Amino acid sequence: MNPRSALDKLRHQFDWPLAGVTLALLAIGLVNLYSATRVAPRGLYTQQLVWLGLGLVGFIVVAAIDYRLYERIAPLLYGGCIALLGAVLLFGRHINGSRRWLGIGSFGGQPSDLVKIGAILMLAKLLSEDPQELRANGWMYNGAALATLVVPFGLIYLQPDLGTAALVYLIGLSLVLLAPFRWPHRLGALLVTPAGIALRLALRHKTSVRSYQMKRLMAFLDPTADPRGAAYHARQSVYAIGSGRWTGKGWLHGTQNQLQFLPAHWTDFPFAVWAEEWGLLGGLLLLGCYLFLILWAIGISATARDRFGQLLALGVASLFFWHVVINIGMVTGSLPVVGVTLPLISYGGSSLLTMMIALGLLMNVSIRRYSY
Amino acid sequence: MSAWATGQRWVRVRLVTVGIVLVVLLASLVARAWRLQIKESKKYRELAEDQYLKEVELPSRRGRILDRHGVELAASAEVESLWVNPAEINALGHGEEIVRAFHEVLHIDLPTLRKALRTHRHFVWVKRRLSPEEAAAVRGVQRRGVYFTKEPRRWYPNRALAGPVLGWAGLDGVGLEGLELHYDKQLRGARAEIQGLRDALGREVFSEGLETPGHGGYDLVTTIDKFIQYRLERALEAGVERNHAKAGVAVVLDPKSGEILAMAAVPTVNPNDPSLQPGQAVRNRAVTDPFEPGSTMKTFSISAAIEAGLVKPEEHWYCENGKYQIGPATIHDAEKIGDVTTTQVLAESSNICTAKIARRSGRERVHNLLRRFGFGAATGIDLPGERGGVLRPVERWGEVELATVAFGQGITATPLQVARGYATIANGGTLFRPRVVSRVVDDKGHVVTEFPPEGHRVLAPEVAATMRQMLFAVIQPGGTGEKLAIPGYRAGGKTGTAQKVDPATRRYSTDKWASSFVGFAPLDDPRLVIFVMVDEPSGTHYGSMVAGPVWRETMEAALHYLHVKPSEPAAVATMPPSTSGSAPAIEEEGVVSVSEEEVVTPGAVEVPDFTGLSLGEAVEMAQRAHLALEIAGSGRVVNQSPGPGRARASSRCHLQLSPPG
Repeated sequence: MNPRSALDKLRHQFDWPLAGVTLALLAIGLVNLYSATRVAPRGLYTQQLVWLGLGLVGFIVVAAIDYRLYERIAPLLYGGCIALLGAVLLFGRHINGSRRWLGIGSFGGQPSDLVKIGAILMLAKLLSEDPQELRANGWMYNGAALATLVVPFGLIYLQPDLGTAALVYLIGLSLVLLAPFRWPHRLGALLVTPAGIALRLALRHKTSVRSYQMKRLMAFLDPTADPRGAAYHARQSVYAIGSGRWTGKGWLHGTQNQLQFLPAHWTDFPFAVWAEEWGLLGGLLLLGCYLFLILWAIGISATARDRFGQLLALGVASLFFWHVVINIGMVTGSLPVVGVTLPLISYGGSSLLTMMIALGLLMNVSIRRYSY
Repeated sequence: MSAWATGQRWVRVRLVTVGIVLVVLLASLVARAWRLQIKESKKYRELAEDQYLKEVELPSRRGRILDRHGVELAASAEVESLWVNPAEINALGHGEEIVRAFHEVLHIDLPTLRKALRTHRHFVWVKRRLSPEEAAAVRGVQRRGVYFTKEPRRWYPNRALAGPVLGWAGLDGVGLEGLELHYDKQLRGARAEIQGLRDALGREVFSEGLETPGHGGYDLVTTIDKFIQYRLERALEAGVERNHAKAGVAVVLDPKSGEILAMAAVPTVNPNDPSLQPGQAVRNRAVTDPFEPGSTMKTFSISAAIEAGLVKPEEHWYCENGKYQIGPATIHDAEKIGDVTTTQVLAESSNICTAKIARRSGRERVHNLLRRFGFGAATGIDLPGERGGVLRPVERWGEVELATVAFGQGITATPLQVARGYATIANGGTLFRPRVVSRVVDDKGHVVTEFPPEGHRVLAPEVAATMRQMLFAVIQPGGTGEKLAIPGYRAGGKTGTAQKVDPATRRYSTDKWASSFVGFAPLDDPRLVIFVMVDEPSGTHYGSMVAGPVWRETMEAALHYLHVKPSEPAAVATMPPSTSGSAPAIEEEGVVSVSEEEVVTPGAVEVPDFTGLSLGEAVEMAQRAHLALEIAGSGRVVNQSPGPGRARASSRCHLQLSPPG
């Protein structure tokens, strides 16, 4: 195949809309982060630019290698992620009473981000078995899929980071529910979660719920009870969004942001900064981008050339969907405050890298829809 | 694809379902955003604005209090206050490091510091108004979350000097006592108000300057003379100590204007003391404490008789040899006196003859003169808490009351009132309203308010001149104040030795006395009136022996200082040799010749270490070391030349002073 025809082929098969929406989200993220980090410790912005570079490289590399290779080595990748989670518990850095970080110097990341990719790959491989086989041995496959999720859940829960653990579980569970199981099996998988919570509550008299978890939960139930504590984040965020109106206060002019009323707004609350400075219209633009991206991923899934590709694309859609819904739900005061980032917008190296790898996988599936 | 063919239809159904769920959920987020941003936007915008819009009051610089030559008696300096942002520090996780550093530098105990950081707040004071050394040391602990804010601190560079007159201002810059209280409004100035933005840390971020104009605090130029004040305080302190007395009070007046040149009280107060509370038992006794003056009042009752032309100075009186019956009461003299002139009645301080003179005048004349001289009413001095003393209505005066009031019992007056009465005689008959502040000036030195002398004539000049001559006799041989003559100067004055009423028995005590001396000099053109009272001396209680030396010492120093020409050339020879030939002077950039013996001391002297001392302390130390000083600047000594050690005896020590902070 001569280079020219290869380039033509790529031009035809390359998913321009996917690349376009990715770049649009990245651009919004950079513009917003510039404003959000003006009052942040120095160096955050440039550090994020470095991570963005790494993310783009990761995107291209992940997209370039045929995803069937990932299918083959999925258990290896998954195992690697689990090993990293174990390493965090042993060697991770203590920040705010939990071990979430692994890194050298100021460069590092949270393996709990990367494990989402590992889990999606592993589940996609597991559930891409012949549907007849899946139906025949429903309980076994269901059990294996849930075990794939429970291991990272447990390791992240021990950090402790209940929010992220639940998120990983939720992303994976969505995928399990979409697999061609019989309804009883599906209901069984669905019921494992409440059963687990019931068990946890039954054991509560022995171990207590971590105090910060209780605080956040109580703060969500009664935000006025603790005005400068946990509910403070949520309230300040709501003030910021609320005072944005249609067109916002203008870039770099959000008072809640610039006057530091929004705590750590560059990591978990960038949507509040965005909505304050760009208003409802800006918020709609951002949500529109996400909606397009997720629907596009579902479209890719529907036309993927094999079951692994279908499930992989669905997994990425699930990853983005839950991140966006939980983050914006929490920032708008509809959900309790848990540390869930806004994909491609939040500050955070491993989060950005994970999302870029996920989009690389999506691009990979998209490009190879037509090649047999 | 074929492998999943059977489920393919279902896959599509599932995907569409997922898509619908997804759109619904995202739509609900949009709905939430719409509610927040559009529907309830006004509420949230207001809530947000409440947080950051704030009326900011800018405290203006508190004005200074200056002596009559512009030397600072009270000033405000900006000092650093230290605070931390615990939320920030805890997030960064270097709290313990900061705690240990603060403990080492500021000597605050560790549990207190740890407790301060154990909070989610964004602002906690660590220590307010750090000393410059502390601030410099803390600057070495440059960590995130550690901040400085400038705050004004009131500073009295001369420590306790004129403390009861100055009063003091509290931490928040509000005058609580003395001049600080009386002139609080002027010293504070008008505050400027601007609309400011406040950030999450409560720091003010200024945007639009909707400023309402204000002005800084005004400076007070007082009539106090730092040198005379200093000499008066030292002399009074020594006098109180020498006589093991309970307290002392003294006033120096300029008789020609009513200006207070110095005003002292022992025990005194150091306004720098941070533990001072308003209403504490530290009074400016010269204005707040009326007492029974005793014999110093005889001058006024005899003036009434002279004024009426009923009595001549050379007229003879029989003083009954120390015991005399008036109605039901027996009046005593301290010593048996027989036949004397009116002048001698005053000079030897006979109660009996004073009573006789008052009887000739009649109660109306005596009462009328005392009223004219301002007794029984406050003088209206510009100091808080002044009281006027008691002068009973004339209708209530019987034969006995007339006699006792004539020699100073049954009437109360403040030291200031007595001093002012003598100033009136000294200046030829004009009663001035005493003043401590002569003018209020703004920060550019422009006069805002001026207080010119306010006085009116209450006595004919001839009568005043006659009284001055009679008071001169007090300090001549044979007078009660004969030991108080000042070489080279003619002066007039009067002793006062009053028994105090014992509060327990409500009778005159036999061992509690108020010993006073009041006088003026030079006799023919008085420049100064000094009143001194020593309260409850132990041992001797005669005014001339207890209060007199304080008066003499201060008067002599002040006359030299003011370059008042000696009136008796012959007396110059008896004056101790002075280095410069002229009187010692103490000025901003002046030369102080402290020791008279300096010239004759041969060889070398030991130069002490003056560093850190106030001017007063340095002068005192120099006196002990027989050293002459050259002084530059004000505040505390920061540099000296030559340094501590041995130096040539004739050398002067040059001191560089600098305001602290």
